[in-house]
Amino acid sequence: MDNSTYSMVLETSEKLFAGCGGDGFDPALWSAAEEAGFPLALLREENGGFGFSAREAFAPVRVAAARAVALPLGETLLANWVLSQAGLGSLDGPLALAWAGVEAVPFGRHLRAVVRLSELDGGVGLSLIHTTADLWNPGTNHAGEARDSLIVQEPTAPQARIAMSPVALRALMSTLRTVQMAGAIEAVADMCLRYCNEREQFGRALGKFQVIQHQLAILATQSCAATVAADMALAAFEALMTQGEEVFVLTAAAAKLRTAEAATAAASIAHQVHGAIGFSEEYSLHLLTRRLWAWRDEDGSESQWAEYLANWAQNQPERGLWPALTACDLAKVA
Amino acid sequence: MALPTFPLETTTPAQAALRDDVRAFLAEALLDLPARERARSWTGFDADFSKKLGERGWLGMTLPKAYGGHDRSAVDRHIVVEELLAAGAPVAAHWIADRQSAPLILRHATEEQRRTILPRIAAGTCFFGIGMSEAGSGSDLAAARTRAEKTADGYVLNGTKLWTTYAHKAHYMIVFCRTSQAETRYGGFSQVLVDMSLPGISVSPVLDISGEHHFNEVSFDNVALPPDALLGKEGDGWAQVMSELAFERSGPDRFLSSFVLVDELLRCVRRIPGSAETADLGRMVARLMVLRQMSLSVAGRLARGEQPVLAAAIVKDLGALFEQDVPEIARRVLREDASDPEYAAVFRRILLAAPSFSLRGGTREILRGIIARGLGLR
Ligand SMILES: Cc1cc2nc3c(=O)[nH]c(=O)nc-3n(C[C@H](O)[C@H](O)[C@H](O)COP(=O)(O)OP(=O)(O)OC[C@H]3O[C@@H](n4cnc5c(N)ncnc54)[C@H](O)[C@@H]3O)c2cc1C
Repeated sequence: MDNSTYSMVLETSEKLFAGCGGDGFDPALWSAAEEAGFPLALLREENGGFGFSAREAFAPVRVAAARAVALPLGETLLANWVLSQAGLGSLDGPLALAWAGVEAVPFGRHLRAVVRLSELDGGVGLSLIHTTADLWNPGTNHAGEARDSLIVQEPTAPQARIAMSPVALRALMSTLRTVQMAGAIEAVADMCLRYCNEREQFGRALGKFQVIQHQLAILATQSCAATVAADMALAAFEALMTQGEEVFVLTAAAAKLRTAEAATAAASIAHQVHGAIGFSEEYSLHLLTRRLWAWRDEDGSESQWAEYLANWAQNQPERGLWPALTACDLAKVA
Repeated sequence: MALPTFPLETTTPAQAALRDDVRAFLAEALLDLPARERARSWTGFDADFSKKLGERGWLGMTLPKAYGGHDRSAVDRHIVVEELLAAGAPVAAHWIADRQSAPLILRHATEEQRRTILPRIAAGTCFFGIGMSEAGSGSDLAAARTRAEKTADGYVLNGTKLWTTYAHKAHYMIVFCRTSQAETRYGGFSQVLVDMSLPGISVSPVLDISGEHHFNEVSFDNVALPPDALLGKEGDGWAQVMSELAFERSGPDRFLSSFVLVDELLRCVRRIPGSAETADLGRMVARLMVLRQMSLSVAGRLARGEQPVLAAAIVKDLGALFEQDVPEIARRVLREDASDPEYAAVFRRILLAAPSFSLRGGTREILRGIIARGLGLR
């Protein structure tokens, strides 16, 4: 892993998204993100990307989530990757992937096009639908992020197909939420730490009380687990060609599940240590915690991925779980 | 927030082959060991088994070849340890020596001691006890009262250690004790290497809540120690014992202690169709997958010569929660239907061992204090 590229992308993203964040879609910020090339970052160089690793390509998504920036950055990143896999090139965004029949399309009203997905011969069929704001019924998730449904869903014949199983594509879409959650959890932890160092009660900073210290310690352990989980999912996606779809799906499922669990714990501790101010609209904690509550169950709910993993575990032969787990370890690429 | 990083490790073909070798060996060596015995995890004692591991080069792996070791990386050692624990191998005999005493001796003992002791640890024939806790000194290690008094020909050791795991089988104990009156709370401590065959040492069993004997009370009554019993520098005991604890905290023993129950649970769930509280099972698998990579990452950092104290504390805290949750998940998933005798025996063993997972090697509260310090809160 080339850490310098990763740090560079992080730095660029942090500059771009500094001071942003909130519920509204900001077209100027979108243009700036597009100019920086973020939505194409998963593509190979010959297809207009930068040849980034998945972790590098998703770094802006992590930062945007940490700042509660309402942009379909990851959605467009994934849509362009899928289009390019299908030989359809790439498009200016915003774009999003959406399974046929599924409502609550992320940022629907702001999109230039939706890549409609359907199961097709063990792979996934795609059709591109150009849209404008008036074609959407507006809706929102718990965080107030646009989750809209098309007013008329005309069945369209798939224009192309990618050789990826539907479950693997679902796992990829869920990985976007995993990365977002990991970024937001770290930001929540950061806010809590700063707040507990500043806020005084009983003549001391809250962070001087052992109970509060232990709550923050738990938050830190959960944040670390979430970050590792997101890195695991991205690394397994990176290794899709060499390690295969099953390893990726399992890793992504575990990562989504583990990160969702961390999100629940993080949001709960964060609201507790913040007291009433954290419950007020003017204070920015809820921009992160409401997103965490929403992302936990978007693109595969916690229960669905739990069931997937449970079934997999139960299908292993006797004492077969351990070898199956170690078979998911990532091999060193020469 | 100053959170530690956990860079992901990747596996080389040689490491994958090492894993396969260990696994194949264990499949044969443990063929007749029933699950209820394997469930003892790293408290199962079998000196012959330890010797066999030594013969295969799987002990003292990170020690230099000059001292009977194998010059392997911390990651290679981690792979072997994971396989041993996942299989429920009886590793207690060599466990403490291999995990923490050997690195301590390598750094702080005399050349003569390194040459005589380390090759025996690597051979799986020399066992150690950890002499830290006392009746009045648990979490608060600086309250230790055991003393080593300097004399013309060495030291005289007096005091009583408690909870010393397998002291009754150990050849040596590394005892944390006072060597002088302290000017500061953490000053005046040293670590001494105690040959357990010396006169004046008495070891009496303390039984655990299952009625099992693994830990002990160890009394030292005017035990005459040679001058080279002093490990490291006199007065440096506190710093030494803290770095010893870092080795004690980072490994897969901190999340795999109840893995045999995971296997047993899966065996019985399949037999009772439709009984699965599947969400619980899935969560368990997800947590285990992430913990494995976190722990492996710590091994990677150790291999690069770092001292990931904070990262190790985080893995141990999360690991203990996981290990303790396994029996609770098992109860929910199987409900009342746990009539399989082997399952029931494994379940009881893990249930009754579980409280210790967040005590030994530093309690949950102490670990969270370390993490809070890492966050700059203390
Ligand atoms: C199975 C087992 C094997 C062991 N083997 C060994 C061994 O081989 N060698 C050895 O030296 N020791 C051994 N120990 C002892 C172990 O290291 C101690 O149990 C541990 O350090 C805690 O000390 P204590 O039991 O005296 O509890 P105490 O320190 O009395 O703690 C009791 C409770 O109070 C909490 N507490 C204490 N101080 C604080 C604080 N400042 N803030 C908040 N909470 C606090 C603790 O977290 C704990 O919950 C073993 C223990 C077990 C259970």
